Amino acid sequence: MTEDPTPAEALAAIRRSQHDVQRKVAAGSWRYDIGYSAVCAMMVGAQALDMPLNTLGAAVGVLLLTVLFRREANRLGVSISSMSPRRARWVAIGLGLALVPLMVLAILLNHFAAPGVMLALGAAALMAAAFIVVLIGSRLWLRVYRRETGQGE
Amino acid sequence: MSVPQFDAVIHAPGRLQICGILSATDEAEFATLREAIAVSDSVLSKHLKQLEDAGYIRLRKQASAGRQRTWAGFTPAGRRAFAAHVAELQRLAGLVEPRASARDSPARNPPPSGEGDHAKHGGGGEGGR
Repeated sequence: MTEDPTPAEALAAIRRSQHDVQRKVAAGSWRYDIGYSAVCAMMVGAQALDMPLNTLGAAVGVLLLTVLFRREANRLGVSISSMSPRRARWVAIGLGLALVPLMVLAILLNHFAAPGVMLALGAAALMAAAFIVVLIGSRLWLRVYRRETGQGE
Repeated sequence: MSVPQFDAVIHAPGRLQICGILSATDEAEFATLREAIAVSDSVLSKHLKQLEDAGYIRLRKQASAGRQRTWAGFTPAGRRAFAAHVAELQRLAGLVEPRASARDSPARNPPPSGEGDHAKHGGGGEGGR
């Protein structure tokens, strides 16, 4: 690039930089998303356990998500909290909200189902649902993020 | 939508690329920025210092695996300034583009009749700032 780039050259340089970041973020993102979804599923499933195991499950889940996030940031050399840009943030918030009913169902399951096979099957079904919801949400977030950051803003 | 505003601090080539990367992230690591814009540590430090002095980025040091890493991220003011700068670049590019295509159109710029200097004058779409 020249020392005093024209507007077109400058915009092209910005787009190139943004595409480089997008490529980095997309590389290996399936592995990250699967790990992230598994931890979220574990947090949902833990709510079907008695106190204090459910609280412990949630705390361990939050810790694992933090470790996963930091490791991914160190691997990529960029950190993206999923709360930006604007539209991608709403996907992340929607994803978090989608987990709430699944957690409530797991708590209700613990209250109303007798310990045994039914409770285990119910918890497994909720975990599977959470895994799929989070995985779809994560891929959707990536698509929205790529579209939003590709606009040169 | 940002109000278009040209920003000389952001516009320098290295800093433009740094801002491009930061606009797509929350934070970027020093080594990642250095590789992306292909400059030495000292040149990158200088660019980051200028952006930090302008209040556009914040630098954060973090110990990781026994070594210290520096992370840079936009401040809210920096994000706004970058968005305004991009809006201004888009506005300027929009001003240059119609003029260039009008010059290039056959109606305005008939095929050269032998001197061969028309293509040079008609094809240059840059330099419109």
